[in-house]
Amino acid sequence: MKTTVNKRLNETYHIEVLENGLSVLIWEKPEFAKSFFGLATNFGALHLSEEVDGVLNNFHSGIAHFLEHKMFENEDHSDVMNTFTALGCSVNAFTSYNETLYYFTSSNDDLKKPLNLLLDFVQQFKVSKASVEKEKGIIDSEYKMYQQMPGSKLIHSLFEGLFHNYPLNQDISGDSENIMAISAQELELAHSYNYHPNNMLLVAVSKLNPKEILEIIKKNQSQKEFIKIKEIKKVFPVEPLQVKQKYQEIKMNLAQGKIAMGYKFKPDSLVGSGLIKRNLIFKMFCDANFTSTNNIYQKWLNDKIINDSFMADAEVSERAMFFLLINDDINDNWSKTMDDYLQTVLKKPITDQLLSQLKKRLIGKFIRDFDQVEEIAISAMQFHWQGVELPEVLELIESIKVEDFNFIRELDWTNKAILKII
Amino acid sequence: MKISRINNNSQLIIYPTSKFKDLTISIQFHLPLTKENISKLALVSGIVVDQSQKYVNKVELNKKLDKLYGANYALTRTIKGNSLVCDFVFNGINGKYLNQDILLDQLNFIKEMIYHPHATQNAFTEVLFNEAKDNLLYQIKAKKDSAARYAIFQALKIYGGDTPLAFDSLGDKDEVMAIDNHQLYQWYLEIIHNSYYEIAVIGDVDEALIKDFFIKNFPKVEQQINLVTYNKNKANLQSISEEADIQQSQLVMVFNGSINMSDKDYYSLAVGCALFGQLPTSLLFSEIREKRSLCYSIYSRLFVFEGGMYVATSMDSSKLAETEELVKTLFTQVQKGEYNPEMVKIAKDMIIDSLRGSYDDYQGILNLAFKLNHVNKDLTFDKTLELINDVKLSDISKAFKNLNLELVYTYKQRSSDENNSK
Repeated sequence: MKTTVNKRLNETYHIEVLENGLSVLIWEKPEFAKSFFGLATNFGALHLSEEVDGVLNNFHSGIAHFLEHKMFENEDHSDVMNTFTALGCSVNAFTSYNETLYYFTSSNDDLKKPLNLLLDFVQQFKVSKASVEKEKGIIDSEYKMYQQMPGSKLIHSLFEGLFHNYPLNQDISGDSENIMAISAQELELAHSYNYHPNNMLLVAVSKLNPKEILEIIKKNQSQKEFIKIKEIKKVFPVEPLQVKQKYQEIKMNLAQGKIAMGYKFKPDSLVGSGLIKRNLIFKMFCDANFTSTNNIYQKWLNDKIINDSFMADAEVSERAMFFLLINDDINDNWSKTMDDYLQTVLKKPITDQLLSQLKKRLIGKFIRDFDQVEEIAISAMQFHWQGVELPEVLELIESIKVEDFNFIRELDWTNKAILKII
Repeated sequence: MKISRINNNSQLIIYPTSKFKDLTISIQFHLPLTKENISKLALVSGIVVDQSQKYVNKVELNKKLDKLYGANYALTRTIKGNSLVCDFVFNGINGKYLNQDILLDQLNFIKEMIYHPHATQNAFTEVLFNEAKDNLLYQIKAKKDSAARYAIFQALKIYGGDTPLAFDSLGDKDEVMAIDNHQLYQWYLEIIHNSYYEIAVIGDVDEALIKDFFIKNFPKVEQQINLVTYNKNKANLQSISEEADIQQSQLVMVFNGSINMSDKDYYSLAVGCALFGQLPTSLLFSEIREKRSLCYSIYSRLFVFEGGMYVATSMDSSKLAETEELVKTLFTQVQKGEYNPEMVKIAKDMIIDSLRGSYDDYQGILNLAFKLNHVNKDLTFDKTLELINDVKLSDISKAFKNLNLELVYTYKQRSSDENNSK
């Protein structure tokens, strides 16, 4: 077990990769009452095609989320949640575009049983055909619930306008048609490869002894056998550079309309810490130019171009790079104002003074996130998939220089989609 | 937790702990709970955290917050019994993680923000006042765009009648429009100089310095808090329905009751509510979602200061009647004690686990402090756990027999005939 003590942050954590490929990350939090244990797979809503040892498998959209729902069911149709609750633990799960995480929290001092239960219920597929059919109504209801929320609908529809084929244009739960088409057989296939220890991470943030935690995990894993897989290669569809739909208008009979604009760029070829750093830089660009950090924000408020819901965000990944502007009110001059302003700020480099201010903001937030066990676990998991350990992010923030922002100016800012919900 | 009386009738609560990397300071002013005060506080909350005499615009305020390493400063508004609480909350990093002593700077920032609002000629700065008013009116208008929130708001408005349960925390549109800037400014000065207030500090701090600062810099107050819980009068059962162009229908069922959190039977009701509709093992979740797939989400909540409870869910219109009947049947089962007695132990364990976990975040600590300091003054934390552990199935039956269904409110999908005719 590799132990790291970060003196600056006063944090200690341990990492081990077991013989079967399962990565284990244990974070010490001796003063916290609550422990967090999560088992994550690098299988999310984006992963709809994969090549396993040369064989291509295609899945319906929403497969990762559907699997998350069904994993909680025991063979006798009872719910694993009940067993966790009986052990005094709160259990839950979520599916994002990149991963699925199953987790429990508890303030108990003996967590051997729930930890074994977590490993067992996630790693064993026990879903019947009948129960899959029964679940479809619940998941469809969840999908419709999000479709009814104007904020969720706005983001989802904007992604539909930006992407032709890249699965970010699909809802995490899939749509009604895809939900109804998913079968138990398809779920089993997805589980057998993607819930393989090679593709998983167990993350613990706890006051309990890390050696004892690791022993429980090792013993559990030594009793299980998994299929042999040489290589899982995630396959993504070819995505044209141009946006799919330049303008959309959706009617929801809202009391207050919403407007969004998305800029689509050629994805970055960077990975790991380089990619994380670019994400941090792009988010700093948003803060510097599109928040109340900048005087223009107040002018836009005064001119009623925006209201206080206005936000900007950006994402840089290996397969998609985009920048979004969103406002919960529709002003006819909004799009032009934003476009004109972008042309101005793209010509103007960030100042040393502003960069220093924004770094302090990020550093403070980063350090304060260590005050929540859930935050540590989820951030550590997300950086783990990218090959970076959580405390290294602090050094990445500190290393950002003015010239690092140059890549933003070099992007093609003409490729955009606009969406209105009225 | 160390509680001391300062400045005549005010209280200073210090929770010294080294487990957090940040410092939380909460200053709660207690105002009489009236509809007018709610509207005024909702408007003030958009003004006094935005700028001050020293930080004259958003940009300057951001610079200061970033100098304090991305500190957060906000005003939250809550209703606690007969009190409307105006809570200024500051979260900032503990200087020891930066090798800097910034505590006094942090304290002076809070003082500046509360006691030196940006004003000219006995009124808030006009631009700021108008901007806050526009934003608040926008939020009031957009309320209907979230069907689930709107349904609960409408149900409480109908059920609450002339009691504070019917008050909307965003305030009343006509009242907000009529608020005069000068009067609002005077109203704010009256609060910060004469209202009862309570200070809570959580973190690894110099306790003597904190106490000395607040004694020297905050006013003496004569008012005392007199927290009153109350019960709403009973009324006959009503069924009220409203239609709109929404994808999923909302169902809210409101139960009147006289047991509130100051009552000796409160924990019996709390355990009952947990097993009825708050846990994954709850009757509502397992019978209505898991067994019958009628909805995605269903839950029950208590009115902790007022007595009573409500159940909320959303689903397709065709399933409304069946769900309503099931809720009634399951409610009767809890009254009669016709459920697995093991559920009582599970509910008690989960409530205790959640209470223990309260010490892991500042909001949990503040809530506990308020409860033990004002509502159940004769209770300690350990005694609270004992009371929960002592709850028996018969106690839950008795507590649930105190509840009566008074309102069934549905916010329904407009029928397809009407939709087609449009």
